[in-house]
Amino acid sequence: MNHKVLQLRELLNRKESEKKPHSAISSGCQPLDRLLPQRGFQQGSLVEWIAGGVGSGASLLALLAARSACYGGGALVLVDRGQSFYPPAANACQLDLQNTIVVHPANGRDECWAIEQALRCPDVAAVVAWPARLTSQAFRRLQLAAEHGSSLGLLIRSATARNESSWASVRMLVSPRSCPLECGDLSPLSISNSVATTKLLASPSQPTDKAMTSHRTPNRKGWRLGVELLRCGGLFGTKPIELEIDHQTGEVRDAYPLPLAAQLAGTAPDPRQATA
Amino acid sequence: MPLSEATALGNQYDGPPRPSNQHNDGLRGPSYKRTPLHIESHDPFEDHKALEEIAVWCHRFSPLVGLADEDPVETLLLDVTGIAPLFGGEQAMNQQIESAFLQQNLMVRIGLGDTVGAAWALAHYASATLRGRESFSAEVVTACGDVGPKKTPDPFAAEPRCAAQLLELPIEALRLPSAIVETLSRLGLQRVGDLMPLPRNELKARFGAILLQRLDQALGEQPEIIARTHSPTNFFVEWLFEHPVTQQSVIQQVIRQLIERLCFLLLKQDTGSLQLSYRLTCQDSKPVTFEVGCYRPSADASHLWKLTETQLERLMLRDPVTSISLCSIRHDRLSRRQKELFDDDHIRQDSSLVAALIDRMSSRLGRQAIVRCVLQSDAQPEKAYRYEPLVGGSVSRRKNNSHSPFSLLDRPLHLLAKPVALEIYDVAADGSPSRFQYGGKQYAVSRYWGPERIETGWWRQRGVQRDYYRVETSEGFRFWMFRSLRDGCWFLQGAFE
Repeated sequence: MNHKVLQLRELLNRKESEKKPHSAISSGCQPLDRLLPQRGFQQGSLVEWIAGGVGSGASLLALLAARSACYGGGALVLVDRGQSFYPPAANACQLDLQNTIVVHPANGRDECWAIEQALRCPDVAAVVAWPARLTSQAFRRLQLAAEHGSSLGLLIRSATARNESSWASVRMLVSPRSCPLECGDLSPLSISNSVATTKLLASPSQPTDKAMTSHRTPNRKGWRLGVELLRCGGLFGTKPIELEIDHQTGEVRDAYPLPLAAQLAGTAPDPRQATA
Repeated sequence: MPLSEATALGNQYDGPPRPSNQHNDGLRGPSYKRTPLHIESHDPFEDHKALEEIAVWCHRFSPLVGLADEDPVETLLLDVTGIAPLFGGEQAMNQQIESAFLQQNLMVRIGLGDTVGAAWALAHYASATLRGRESFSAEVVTACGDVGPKKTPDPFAAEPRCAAQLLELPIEALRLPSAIVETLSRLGLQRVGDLMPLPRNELKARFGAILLQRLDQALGEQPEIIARTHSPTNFFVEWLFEHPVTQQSVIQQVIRQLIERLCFLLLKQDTGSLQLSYRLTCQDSKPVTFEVGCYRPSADASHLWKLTETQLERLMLRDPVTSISLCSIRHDRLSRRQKELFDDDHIRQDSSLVAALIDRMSSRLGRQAIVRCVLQSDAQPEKAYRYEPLVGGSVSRRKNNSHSPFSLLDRPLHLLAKPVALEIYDVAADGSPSRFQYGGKQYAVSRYWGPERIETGWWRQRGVQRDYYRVETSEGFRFWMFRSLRDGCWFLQGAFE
């Protein structure tokens, strides 16, 4: 294509992008969207998920956000230095593995480089990474790369990163909550109605493995995760919310949903503003 | 076959002893020594690459050599129309092909037919007496006569012969999908000849167009084209220095020129390179070689130079360089798309920018570091998936959109590469863990789901017998652990991060 045409296209694209602000990307769960001022994450920004500990569910929420970001098209890049990412679980999250690129960098330097390169690519919708250490300069580079490529960077950090400086536009602390005592059926001994299933996973021509599952019916309470918005733009330290992930459906909902009347009251326009 | 099964089988069966060339005194006869078992995991990409190399080598028998359209590819197609007299007849030609393969330590089955379909069928399913008009052994090569519909008789071609043989072969010989073969066998149609009396319209309505297409292709009623495998030596450029060179800048400049020359050759044939091989011959030491791979075929000199530049940065040259050669060892047709002034959002997936990103990252981090996930039907969690390199591994792009049998919280997002032994302090009466220690911290279990028994077959050397539990601690953290049924020890397999 003619060089002048390319220049024209770039110029027009720049002008257009100046006019329309970056649209918000849903976090993948409605209660979390309601917590965020823009009802989602800003395109071309970094989101930092601080995990409250091992097995806290921060990666799960980040992956749901990545899935949501990929709905509009674009690839998903997973930078997994520890090589511990488990694809069958991601498939259970309904993540499109065909559209997912997994990167296994050997060291921290390559990890930062890979995240930056992926964020800079305009056709990458989201980048998920678990960087152990990030210097302020490296963090800044990642932020600029995300802005340049309009990609969403989802960084899952350990609890020690909470006191470090951050260039992420949104910072969240994810820590699980213990199941409330009033559940009643928490004790494993009280679980009943055991169901046993057997499945064969190989074709007759191949050696077969068998997995016999003996599930006890879990209680109806899902996994509860507390999410605290540490920072979001100029917003600091909001009231934490509690999410509940349903065991059967995988639906993420508010653990303490407001009564219908209160919800309607919250969504209804303020009559004083209306009359003003 | 999984690696563990191959190892188990290999340990059970050492294989026949091989004669040793070193000790043969004529009296005691040849002494034998057992070669140690060597097992390597199967790499489909390397397999395909090796077959392509063999296809190129087969150009000595035929000017038109290609690979069959099957998955996995295991058949070579040679168009030998009018060639047999050059070898002294068809029998002599087949014998020469067979002996040439045997010299390369390759076992082959040769089928000689009037069409690609017939030759494929004869090579795979005919008995030794039917294969070709003469008897031939082995497995990989299919040599065929006329390709396409029957036309003017060729003075060198033999009389039509394979149709009758073909009708006696099993239905599988028609290269049909397994579902159709299964249905046909349920209906009692076992051989190709059983299809002939049936009405064609009904066959098409019941089994789709593929059945008649394959049948017609085998019988020569429909044409079938052999996709030519090109010789990689077509795309080769070299620079010989008048005097040995040590300056990095000069070497870089020469390589840039070589890339431009190679791209010119590639573009002339509307081809892009998938893998480039560099060879820098040094004055006093061994040649330095390195390779550069691409996700998509590329003949863009600046893109190929960028990929090469990252490799050159890490290259250590100790001796002066006397010559530099550049060869495209894998290439394919360039994919072209109509350019638009404003690209739409829906084109973003699998875009050229993503391809360029993959190339850049592969060039710096290595081919094995940029991968795609492929799920596998295996109960053992560690073997339920595998990674395929994106660059170079694009031979078989299988769809991987299988529906997950698990729900969101059935499996953890992080799996430990090797299960970590756990110290269990307390076990409930039903065998579930109540208190355990991990990472120097004690956890009390408040809820659990399980046991989920996972055990692999006895034929696996390192099979597993485990009872898995998903546990939630009193603080709400979730882990995936198991008790080995062999020794009763507890291990942590993953965490619900």
